[in-house]
Amino acid sequence: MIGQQIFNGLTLGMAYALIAVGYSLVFGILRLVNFSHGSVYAFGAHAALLFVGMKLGIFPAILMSLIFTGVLGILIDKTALEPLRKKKSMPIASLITTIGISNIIQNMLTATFGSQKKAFPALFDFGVISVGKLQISWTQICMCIISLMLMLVLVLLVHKTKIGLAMRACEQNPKAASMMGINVNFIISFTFFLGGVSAAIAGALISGYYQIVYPNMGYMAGLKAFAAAVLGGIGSLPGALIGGLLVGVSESMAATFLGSTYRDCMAFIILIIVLIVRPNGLFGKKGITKV
Amino acid sequence: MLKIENLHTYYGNIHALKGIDLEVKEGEIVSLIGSNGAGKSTLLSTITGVAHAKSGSITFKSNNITNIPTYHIANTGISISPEGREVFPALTVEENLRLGAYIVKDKKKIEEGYERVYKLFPRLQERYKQTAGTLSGGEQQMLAIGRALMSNPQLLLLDEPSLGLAPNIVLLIFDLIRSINEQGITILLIEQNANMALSVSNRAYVLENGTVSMSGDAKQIANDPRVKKAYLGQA
Repeated sequence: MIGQQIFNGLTLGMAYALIAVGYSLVFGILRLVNFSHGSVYAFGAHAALLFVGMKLGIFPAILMSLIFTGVLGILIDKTALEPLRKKKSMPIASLITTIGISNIIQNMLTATFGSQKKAFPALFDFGVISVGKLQISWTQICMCIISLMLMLVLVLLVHKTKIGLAMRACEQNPKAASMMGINVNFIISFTFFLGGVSAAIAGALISGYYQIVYPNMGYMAGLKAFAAAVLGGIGSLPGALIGGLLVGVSESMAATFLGSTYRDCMAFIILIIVLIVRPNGLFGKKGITKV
Repeated sequence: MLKIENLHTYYGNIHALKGIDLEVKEGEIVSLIGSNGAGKSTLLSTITGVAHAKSGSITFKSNNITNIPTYHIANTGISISPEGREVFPALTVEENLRLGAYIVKDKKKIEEGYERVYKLFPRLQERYKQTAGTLSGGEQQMLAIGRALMSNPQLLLLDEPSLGLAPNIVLLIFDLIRSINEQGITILLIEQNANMALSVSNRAYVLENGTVSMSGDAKQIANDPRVKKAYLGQA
């Protein structure tokens, strides 16, 4: 029973981790909590649903949704956030803007798709395997593998490629980075694109798991993923993974042992406890001192 | 090579540069001296597109580069070692240098860049895996200059390279500035340490309250009684 719940929680946590990565990436480079990210995730799920409905086949449909959601990320930055940066406005202006964008996206989804819950086709539905007492569905296994692979790709991208090096440079010192010939706004757009893509992947995976999508699905998932990102240490990719897993497991344990009414508060109780003990999160770097 | 004509820049409401004319010829070391707030750093920011010129022009090798976006400046052949060094503290020495060659596409040229920099600054080679934040002030200054050399620039802008360094390190840095120039790189040097700056320069400009108050041969400027009194600490 416990083993089963831990496994269910890990699966869910993997998907949270994918959403959390989006918060971490954008926070790393802009020191901004992008509260529109939950809605971007809901948009990804709806885009996948729309393209599936066009009978493109499930995987081309998901691929299309990744591209569209990535582009949505870029649009958010270009239309609302970049103009604020140009005006050198206060950080809080960008923050409230992201909350506003979140509501706009959610509203658009409701207007286009209706507010009711809609069925989403199951992904990787190849049945269930039993390992001892554990019942593991292929959907769960594939969710874990895909999420882990994506995390790995992201880590390699940030640490082993030229554009990743440019991302880390912009994170530490945008002015010096632009003196090196790096177009900082391009790097920020690219980061928003990555955030959108990872949110869309999470959207498709979670929707395929629960087989349901609805416009405000991003609200709670977004907040929990944000909690996961802070829990792990915002800005750190391994932190997002561990944070996501912790939130997922604690949630499924709470649902089993305390009843499902408690599942949504668990992530935040753990968040508060961890932050009191380790203010920078589990993998958080101490504030970078600019020399 | 670099020609600045009647340049005006405002910092908010402050008229920081009031019509600057300045020229750097190929192969020279030109120094720009002046006290705090004279406009030295504003001039450099205006050249690199960080600050916005209100009027006037900046020409580099007959291209008008007035108010170009900062990230295009490296492509023109100008490289900067900024004031306060501005290295990337959490990246390694090697990664910092790699970023200096960000605009260089040719892998071989990047390798040559590393070789050139490590030859000038053997200390950086010893510490190539260390993060820049753990280096001493002098080493960080070497890294900032090395990073600027990675793109094999034609003109190197050095902003306050001696700031906050021990006297023996300052001597070392100025020796290196001379040898960089001997490799054919033109240098515009901005310094508060007028003594050192004038000793390595061909020509110099003295900046006061946003205008050029004096310019000419570095030796003549060093011997000018007004400069001696105001900047060289001699009566």
